Amino acid sequence: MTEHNPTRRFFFAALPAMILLGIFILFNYYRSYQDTHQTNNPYALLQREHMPEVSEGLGKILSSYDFESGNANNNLSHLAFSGHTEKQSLKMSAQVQFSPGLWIKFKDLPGDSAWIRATGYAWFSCRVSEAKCSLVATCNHNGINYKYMSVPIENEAVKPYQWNKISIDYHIPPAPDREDVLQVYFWYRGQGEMLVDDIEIKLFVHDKPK
Amino acid sequence: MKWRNKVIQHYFFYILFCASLALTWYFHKDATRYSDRNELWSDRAGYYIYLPATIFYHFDTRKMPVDLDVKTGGGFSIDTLRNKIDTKYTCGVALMAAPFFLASGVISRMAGYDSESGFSMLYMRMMSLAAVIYLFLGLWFLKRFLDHYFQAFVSFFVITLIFIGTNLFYYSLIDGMMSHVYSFFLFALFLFALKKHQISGSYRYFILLAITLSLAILIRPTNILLGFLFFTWDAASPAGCLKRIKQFLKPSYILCFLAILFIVFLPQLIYWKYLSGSWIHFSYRDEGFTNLLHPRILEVLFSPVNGLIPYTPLILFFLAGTGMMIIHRKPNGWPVAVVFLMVILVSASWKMWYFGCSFGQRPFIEYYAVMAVPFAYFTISLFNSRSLLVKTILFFFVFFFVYFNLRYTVSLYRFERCYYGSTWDWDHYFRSVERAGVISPVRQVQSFENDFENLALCPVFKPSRVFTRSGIYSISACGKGGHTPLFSIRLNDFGYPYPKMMEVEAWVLKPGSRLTATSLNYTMNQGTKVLFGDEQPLDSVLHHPLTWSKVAKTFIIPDVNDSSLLISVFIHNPKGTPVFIDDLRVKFHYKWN
Repeated sequence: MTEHNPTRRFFFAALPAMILLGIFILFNYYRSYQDTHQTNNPYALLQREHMPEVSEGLGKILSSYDFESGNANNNLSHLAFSGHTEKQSLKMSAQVQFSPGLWIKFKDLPGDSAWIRATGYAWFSCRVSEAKCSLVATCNHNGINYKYMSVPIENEAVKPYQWNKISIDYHIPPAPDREDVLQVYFWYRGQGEMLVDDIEIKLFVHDKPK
Repeated sequence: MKWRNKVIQHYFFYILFCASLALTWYFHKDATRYSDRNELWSDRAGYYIYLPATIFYHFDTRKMPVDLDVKTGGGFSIDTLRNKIDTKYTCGVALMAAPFFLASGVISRMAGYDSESGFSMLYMRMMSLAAVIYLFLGLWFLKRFLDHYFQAFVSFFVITLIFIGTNLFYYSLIDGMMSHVYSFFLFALFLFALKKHQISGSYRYFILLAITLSLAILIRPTNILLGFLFFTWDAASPAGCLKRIKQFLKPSYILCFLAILFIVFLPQLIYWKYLSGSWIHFSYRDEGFTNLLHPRILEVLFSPVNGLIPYTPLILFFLAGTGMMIIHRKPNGWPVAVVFLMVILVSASWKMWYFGCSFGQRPFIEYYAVMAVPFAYFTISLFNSRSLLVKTILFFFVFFFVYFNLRYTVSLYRFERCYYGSTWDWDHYFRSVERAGVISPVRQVQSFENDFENLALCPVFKPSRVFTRSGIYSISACGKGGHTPLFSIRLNDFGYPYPKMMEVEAWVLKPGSRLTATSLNYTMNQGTKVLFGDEQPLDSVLHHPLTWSKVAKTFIIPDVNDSSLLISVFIHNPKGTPVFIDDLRVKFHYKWN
């Protein structure tokens, strides 16, 4: 079982292996460093859902707002004399952070498997990066949000000084409690002003495949 | 050349000893008198208690602090009713550690330290020293033994890797008061004496063999397997084995062996008589070789719960060497293979096949001394391989496995000291490897499994053996208060972002035919306040009595920012109807689609 001069043979074979192991360890340190120091892009965590194509064109309107019924002369109405299709829209600001939208209990929703598609139009004069507003869809159980999804406007392909269509598709999850609430709304997070108009929330009920 | 080897050998062992001692004291630097970091805790205290019981307490519980058994982790118990100190462990380790115990007593007396009846920090440090010295001697004898077959360089290489590349490192420097380093020393000494006996035929070496084997059996009765090598090692043919058997059966040999065995076992027999009134006593009570008819071989070899290969992957090269020796018809290939297979069978037959809070399969540690020969054979074949690529790849794996062992031990296991995963929960295993820093970065928790076999992971006080779907345990969900916990985790343990949903799946059985009114529940709690929850009634799936039925439910995890919130999954059973749960599986989803 003996072998001549194994020391030299060992070093010739072991050296490349040790170098490989060193590279492996360094690579892992690098990955660990990168993981620790990477800045979390909040938008990277956002998720989007897309309703199946078959549902297009169908749907029942659950809620819609064109903001034409109020008086824009009254400051307390927070309405503006400019609209997407008609004359008035909602002026959102630090005082009006949440738009009207949808507020419905699960027990009032039909079907087991349903989608909603919420659309609205936003107008702003600031830079896109300062248009801090999101279209939000969420469920709520005793004040706790779940399946919270949002479309931040500043992250979309939008332009200032024009009406931009914002839309979100949302698959309604099975609620732990039929008293839970489904909500959809615009949330203005900025310090300036922004106009929103023609908010419409449509429900699309799917039959579960048998 | 010989002169150079001697110098290398001298410095090698000198450095090995100093480094091991420094490391073991470093690893125990935070140990306090009664803590799990202390060498005198839990099982280790069970091995050790013979010494203070003899010298300080004279086996009289009235002289002991009443809660000493609790304070030292329950490795032994104080039976005040019968006035007995009860430990299930044998006294072999205590016998071998006795010189160090006595030295601690002398030092304490001379320096004026309080010996605290054998539980002072000085005694703890001396027990660490004992482990290092037996490690050092074990490696030294193993080197001397290997030198009969291999060049010095190969022997050095092999013993170094056996020390730093296997769980011997953990069980000598961190858990040194467990029996394994002592057994390893005895195995190495046995092999050394065996070779000397074969060369010289000297009766002195036979006596040494008998003492070594007797002590090894005393420490761990399954170590009797080592005796097989007396008959087969270097025996070229079955006739050679027969000759050895005949030699052993000569009165001068067998009577000598039995006399030594009796003398070595005498303190143990006396203890058993004191404890149970009988000279022979099975102290492990309801433990034992209960899996003998269905040995858990796959689990012992491959399970993430202390499996041999997942925690000591270097063993693959030991096995490769054994296979090569057999294929190349080298002597000792078959004896090594037979011993290894017997150890697998013995371990797989033991009721707790994962050996509690162990690091890897610890019963194999002493057998590394035997496996050193095939490993050395493998190493030589590696040196002689003509393909540089093959050599480099295999050496890379050898060094990687050593790195794995050291990194896992030093970065993670010396703090955790227990594996909290299920029998085949690979997600938990790989996350542990990542948390140890072997592979970066650490992934988020993807799943959780519990087949309730690993008692360290059991969510209730005691699992049930009445009904079981897999393994030998399930849990009974008819506990008091109608609430049986299955699983809980803090949001903090996920890291950000938190999961959106969890799919819970479990197998449920009801012995009776009536409705149980039980449900699988989930809550998210802030302290005692329930913020969110959901449930799945079990009666909808429990149609037939005495049949395991699968219950599955996807629970939504709300979007919250408080990482201290606790997610709990439990069985709600207000009527206390008998219901059994097994094979829980939870899968986390971080996306909605």
